[in-house]
Amino acid sequence: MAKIITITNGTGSADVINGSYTVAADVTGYDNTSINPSSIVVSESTNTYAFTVSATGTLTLHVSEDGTSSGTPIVGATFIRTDASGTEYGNAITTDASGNAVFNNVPFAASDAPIIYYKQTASDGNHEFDNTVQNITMTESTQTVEITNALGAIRTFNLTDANYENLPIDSGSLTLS
Amino acid sequence: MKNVTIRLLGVGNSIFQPEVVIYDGSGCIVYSGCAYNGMVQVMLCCNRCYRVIARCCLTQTAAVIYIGKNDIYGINMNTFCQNDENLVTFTLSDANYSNLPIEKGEVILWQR
Repeated sequence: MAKIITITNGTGSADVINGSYTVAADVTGYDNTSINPSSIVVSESTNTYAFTVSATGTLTLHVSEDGTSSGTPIVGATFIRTDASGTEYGNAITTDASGNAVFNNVPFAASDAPIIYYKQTASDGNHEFDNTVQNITMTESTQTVEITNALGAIRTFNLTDANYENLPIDSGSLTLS
Repeated sequence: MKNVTIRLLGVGNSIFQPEVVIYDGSGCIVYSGCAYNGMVQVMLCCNRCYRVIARCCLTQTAAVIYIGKNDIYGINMNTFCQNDENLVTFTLSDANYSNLPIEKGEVILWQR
């Protein structure tokens, strides 16, 4: 007879008799055969058991100046997966010379697919970016999202002599870092 | 609902007070805590069944009580629970994104 443990936000509890068990998973969007470990021994001394499951989808983030597939690509923009509240998980990914960054092993399903959260953490230093948490559900195994990183606005910087009001500094440079 | 006393017989005022967990008919936890002087007091609904698991040292007892007219119910802690059940917590996370919790799903155990 099967014992079913409902998982909500990563956790579930149940009364389980001590003994050896084969483990299966039923998680929409994931490869249920990847459940690890696939067998456990429940014993008196241990009351918490951790499992993982893997997904097989690929999410490509294409970053360009105008947010189109043909726009000027942005190289070096970084992204990371998060949960809904913005807590970060896993390693950051970075856009390549084509402006593409790839999240591998993400979930997808024709219906009721899990929500994938992510956020951009940096651009290339010359473009603006949105650092808020974004989300997507994938209905196919591969999907590309177009992201806009607009060129920074033209700014004017004035440099004058501190002791002679408004006397312009003839030449020099300012470094912003 | 009414205030009900559950007495864990054989415990008394031992320094080793049992941990008690009470489940309703849906399997939801309605009480979780330690007994005091071998007793717990909890608000339970009348005409309902509750499952009580009391764990103390190496002894564990599970019993089902029906809340009727009585206000006091006794559970014998001197017998070992034949089912030997544990309240077990399972965590499920994404294998490729460390500690990313799986929002919803099921883990199914098949006893060998």
